[in-house]
Amino acid sequence: MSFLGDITTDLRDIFRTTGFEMLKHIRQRRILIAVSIAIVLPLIFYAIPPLFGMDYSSTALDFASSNLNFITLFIVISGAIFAGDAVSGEFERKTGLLLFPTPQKHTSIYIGKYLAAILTLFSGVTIYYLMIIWEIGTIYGFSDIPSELGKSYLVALLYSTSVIGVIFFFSSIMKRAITSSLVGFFILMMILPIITSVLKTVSVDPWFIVTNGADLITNVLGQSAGGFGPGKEIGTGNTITPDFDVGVLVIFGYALSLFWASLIFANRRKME
Amino acid sequence: MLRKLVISIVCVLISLSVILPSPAIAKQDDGDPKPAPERPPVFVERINFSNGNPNEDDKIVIYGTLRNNESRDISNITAVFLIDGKEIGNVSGLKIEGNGSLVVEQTWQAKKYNHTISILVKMNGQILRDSQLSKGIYVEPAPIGDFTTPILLLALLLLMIFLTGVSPSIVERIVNRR
Repeated sequence: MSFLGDITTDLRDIFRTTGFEMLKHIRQRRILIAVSIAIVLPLIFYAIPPLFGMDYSSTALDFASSNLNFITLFIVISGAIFAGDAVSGEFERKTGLLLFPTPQKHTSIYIGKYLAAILTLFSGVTIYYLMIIWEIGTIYGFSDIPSELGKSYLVALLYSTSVIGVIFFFSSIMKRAITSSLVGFFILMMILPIITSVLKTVSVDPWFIVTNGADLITNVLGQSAGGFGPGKEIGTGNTITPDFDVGVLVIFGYALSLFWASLIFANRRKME
Repeated sequence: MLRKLVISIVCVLISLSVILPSPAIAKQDDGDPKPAPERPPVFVERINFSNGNPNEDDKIVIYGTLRNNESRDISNITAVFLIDGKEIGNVSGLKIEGNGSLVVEQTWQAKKYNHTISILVKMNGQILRDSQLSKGIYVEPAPIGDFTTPILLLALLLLMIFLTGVSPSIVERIVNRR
């Protein structure tokens, strides 16, 4: 086969696996769960104030900022759902015995799984932002939709890739799917934010921690960060905020390095 | 079952009535207006800004108009400028003619979000009671980040993923040629 033919075959294998994995996510109703969360979370901010006779935030940016305080939580939950069992599941359920002897290269299988997790998470994040846009449109008018929301969306997509990277990495080194999901989830939701908080308390800039970069999702809106989830510290009183360029580069670095590390570890694994 | 449901609803209603502030509590401050405090000999009459809608890091000048409430000249006055209760500078050795006024100024590099700018008057080193005046200002934060960097990084990441996907074939081809 020609060189170009080899590459075309590899790409076709990757897309085939991606499609198959996405179909699996649909059949296992994971996408339904993620989409439901992506719709319900922003709706809470839309429905609660009128129910209790309170006014919405004074500006569309304020509204978007308070709404987006929970997007990191959504990204981590969805990341754990989509990538938690991507590799470890094949070994745990022994489905790899059918999958790995196929002529398809293992690398293209793992990349297909990784891409499927990323694409499904991207669609969830997109729905979350579309909900916010719709809410802003109905409350403040569609002309008031801030352009900064687009910047925030791009950072959220980038952060999603690093979250998938972290969870995919644990999936490729751990035996059980549930363990890899939980370890990835708790590292992103608790351990890294705690380290970030402690470092900030002692006035050390935690620029190298990926969850610190998650702050940029709301910071680009020009509003102060707060709320719950990775990168959100409540009441610490610190003022260290991540630099945009450094933050997005760190997120990118985590995504790429953990993707490569996952591939190396996953390729070394053997079915027992 | 019904009994449990009724008990749950009652509990929720009691909790809500405790959590939500009652109108009686909210209105407890509404009383008769207090009489205006007596003016000190010198007080801050007005605060103005060189730019009422500043952006972050803009240098704005805060102007304070001091008024002498008495007919005699008053000297040895100090005007103290405060941002959110913290002193940022002062102008001392001031003298104001009887019933006259004087404008003092202080430059401030604007920091983002809401701030309260206050000026108070000191005479012979002592703060004059009720001489202070405060004014709020909102500083527009500087735009953070750009669209290009995350787009480029996302594109680069996808490119690297696909390159990694086809790399075994490339490596295989190179090894076979050797």
